[in-house]
Amino acid sequence: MELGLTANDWLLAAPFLWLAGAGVLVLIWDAVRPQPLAEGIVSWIGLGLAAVACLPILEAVRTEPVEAFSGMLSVNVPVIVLAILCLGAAAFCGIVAWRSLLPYEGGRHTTAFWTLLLFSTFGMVLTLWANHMATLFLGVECLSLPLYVLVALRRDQSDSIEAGLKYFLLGAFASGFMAFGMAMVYAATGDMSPAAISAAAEGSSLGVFGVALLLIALLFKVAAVPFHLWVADVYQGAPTPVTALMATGTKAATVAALLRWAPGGELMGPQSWAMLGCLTLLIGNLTALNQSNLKRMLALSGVAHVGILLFAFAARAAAETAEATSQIGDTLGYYLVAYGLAATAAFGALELLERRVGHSESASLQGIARRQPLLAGVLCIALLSLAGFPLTAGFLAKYFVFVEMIRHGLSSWAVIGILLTLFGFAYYLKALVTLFMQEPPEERPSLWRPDWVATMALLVPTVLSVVFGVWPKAIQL
Amino acid sequence: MPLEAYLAVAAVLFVIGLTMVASRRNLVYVLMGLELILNAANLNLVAFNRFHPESHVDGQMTALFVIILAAAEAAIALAIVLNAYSHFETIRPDDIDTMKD
Amino acid sequence: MATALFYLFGAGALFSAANVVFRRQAVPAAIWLVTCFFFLAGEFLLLGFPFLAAIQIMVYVGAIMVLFLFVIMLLDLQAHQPIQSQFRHSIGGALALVLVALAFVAASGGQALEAENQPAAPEISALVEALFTRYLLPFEVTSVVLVAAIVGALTLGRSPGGSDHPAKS
Repeated sequence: MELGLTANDWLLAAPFLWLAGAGVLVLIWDAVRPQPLAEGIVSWIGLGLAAVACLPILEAVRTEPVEAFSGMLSVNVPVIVLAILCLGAAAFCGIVAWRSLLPYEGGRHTTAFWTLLLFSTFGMVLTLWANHMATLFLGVECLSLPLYVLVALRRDQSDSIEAGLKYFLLGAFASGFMAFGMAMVYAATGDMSPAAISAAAEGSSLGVFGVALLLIALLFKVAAVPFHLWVADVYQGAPTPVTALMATGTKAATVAALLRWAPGGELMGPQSWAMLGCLTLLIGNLTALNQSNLKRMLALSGVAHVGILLFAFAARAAAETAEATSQIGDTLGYYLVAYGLAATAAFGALELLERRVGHSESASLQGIARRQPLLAGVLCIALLSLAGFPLTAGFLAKYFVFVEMIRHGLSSWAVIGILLTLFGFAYYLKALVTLFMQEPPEERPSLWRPDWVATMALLVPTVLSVVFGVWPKAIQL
Repeated sequence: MPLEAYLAVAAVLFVIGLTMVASRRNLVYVLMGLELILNAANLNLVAFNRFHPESHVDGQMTALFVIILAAAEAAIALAIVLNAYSHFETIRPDDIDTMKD
Repeated sequence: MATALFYLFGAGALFSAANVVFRRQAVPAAIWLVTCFFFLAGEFLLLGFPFLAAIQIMVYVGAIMVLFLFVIMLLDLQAHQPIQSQFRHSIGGALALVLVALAFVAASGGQALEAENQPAAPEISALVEALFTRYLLPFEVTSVVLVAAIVGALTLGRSPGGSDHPAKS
């Protein structure tokens, strides 16, 4: 029996090895001689090496997708770019969490935070590249389990524990659905690759039911309507750096998984996807409007963004050629990168602002621009990118999606989408007005110090949001 | 043994598990319902591995991975439940809802 | 003979699962769940997968349910007292769902392979070989997931230092 690992196997395994290796090294280091700074540096180096290891893969997949491990993994251009996005999101999460989560209890949380962060990112990349149902299930679990703990990490705050509990309950429920759906698709077709989804969706009711269950499970993870109710509480209760990771990485991984593992036009036609997208966009915008807590508002605006992504799924369902489908895949990838950059910048800035005022309620953040102009500027650009203001990546991302919709005959839905997006400007502008235009309340003396490293680091996604907004091709490095 | 019999048993187990999760009486019951759902999936996977010989050991292997992941999930689940209990003094999920809606 | 055993184990699994739902106390419910897992392991044996049956018993019963029972004991308020039940309302829903499930199964027929046509179950050597060739990546990933679960459970299990309520474990 030959072990028989091919060159492709090693090529694709490299990022995983760096991530898992860094995670284990941090664990061992902490067991021997706990040193928070060293562990942080090891983790960042691990993330950086994993990102560097992704570059040759990017080169390799420009021509055609690469498969490895007997079909367990399959990489094409969008998912490799998204993998680099997830690695970057994890790095930013670490930088922003450095002063807030890590000194907690005299550094006792340090190991767990870094290890869980690295393993969760491992799961994100695995989910992105999964080409077999077992790998998909493993990837989704590997990404979610550490996140359940990371969300509940601030164990002295009841919000955090409640958020962890809610996230766990709904996430595990979705995993159960996913397992059973996978079992039914396997039962119907005997095949566990993405091709089985199309085969099952056209076959007996057994297969249809399985595909539907799998779809529901993925929609839960993505937070589309009507499975979006957990997002607001979980994003609000979680420590803000973890929220940034969830908003960027989990969304990217699960939307890309949905792209690969959701039925195409067989089970759900373009109209169904468009209707789902429209509902998600509408409900996301409506609920975000009422929120006074900025983290909740951003969580629900994330739901709205998922709505627009579902519109892209509608275009994919209507697409005729393989080339059009891959074009839509690229559009989705661009949107997720644009959203990810903006969400990281927004939540990161919120975290740094929160340290000064205590929490993310609008009432506390009024007029904060006068005291923290740089951070308020970062947040401003991030919010504008999320809203889709011209000159930002968010604008181009939405533009591309609507163009794809019109190109595939969904013009009326595109118009509805554009109107709802414009309507969504309302709550972003409300937030901006709160930050910039209002009078700041009295400030009580506190132990707050500015965190220049994190602030400077946040300039990176902010600047990239604008750069990709004027030069979209740059995203393909 | 006809195939539908295995499917029926797994389907009923799934439904029972689903009822336990959805009724949310008690956090531990929700977790037990979850384990039932995963076991139903395992039964399906293993039974159909027998009836799809061309897939070699796919079903059995996936069932093995589901068991492993269920173990990992149970560990974290119970840690979270213990934390929630020590903080909120209740194990009814519906009573734990402090954040503004 | 095998058919009779299948019906026995299947009925046993369903009866045990139903008992899990209807018990008012957590410890008996957990024990009924253990019984259900034993019956399912019997089903796996009947299907010709002894390895999986053994793993089911060792991991599910031996590890997971033991952990459940520990936690139920730790949450000692609920272990022996009856749980308030709004379950009356759910019974009707549950029965309806069971009927739906059975109807669905009946409708999805047409795939029956009768007992005579069944090929032999895969050998354990085939399983092991697959584990190290085709399923190498998932196998290695499970080790990462398990380490993550251990670290996560330990993190949450530590007493929260610096807070104002006592830790439970």
